[in-house]
Amino acid sequence: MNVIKGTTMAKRSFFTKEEMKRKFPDQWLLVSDYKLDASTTLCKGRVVAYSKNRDDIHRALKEHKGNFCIHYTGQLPKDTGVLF
Amino acid sequence: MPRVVYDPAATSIIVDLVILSADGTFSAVIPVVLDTGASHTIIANDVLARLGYDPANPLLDRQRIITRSGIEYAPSVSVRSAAAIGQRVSELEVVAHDLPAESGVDGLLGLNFLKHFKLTIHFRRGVIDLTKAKH
Repeated sequence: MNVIKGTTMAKRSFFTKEEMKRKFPDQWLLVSDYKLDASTTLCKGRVVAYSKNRDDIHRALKEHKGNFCIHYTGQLPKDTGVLF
Repeated sequence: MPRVVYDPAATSIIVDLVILSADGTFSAVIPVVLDTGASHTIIANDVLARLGYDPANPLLDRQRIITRSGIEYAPSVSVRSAAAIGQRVSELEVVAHDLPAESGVDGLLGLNFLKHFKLTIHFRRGVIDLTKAKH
């Protein structure tokens, strides 16, 4: 299993949401310069940080200026229920 | 018509929530779970802090919330604007509270947002429509 510790600054590249899912599977992303569609849903953006750990992305927020988007590329396991 | 398509096989319905900063100069987009059983919209403390809402301010009103671990009193703040599924609400009261990271979300879209609209969910197709409610 590939485990990434800490926040890694990603190469500043523009990705669609589908590309983000392929290039950064099961990761929390910090995205800037994002574009939303008419349903206020993320379409694409520039990935500036990524991590398996959400806390790393929250820490990276403190250094980030201006608009930002947090995006998670993973999915809950099918055998896991959610109750809030 | 504002419409979001999601994976109907997914465990929960995740949508993006756009929140305007306290000074109105920038915005954040975060993943939230759509929850028609929740009275309030919830946003993570770190996100609200970065947007300038200061959820750690002890002078903020506290909202009594019922969670999986019992009753808690969480800070409540009014955000200038919140938008999801193509619809926007101004001056929305949100609760500052951290959901488990394993949930894959940074908050929860609750009834105090959804009640302003007509919400239609086609569960088998994985389609959500949110339209302005006709009075």
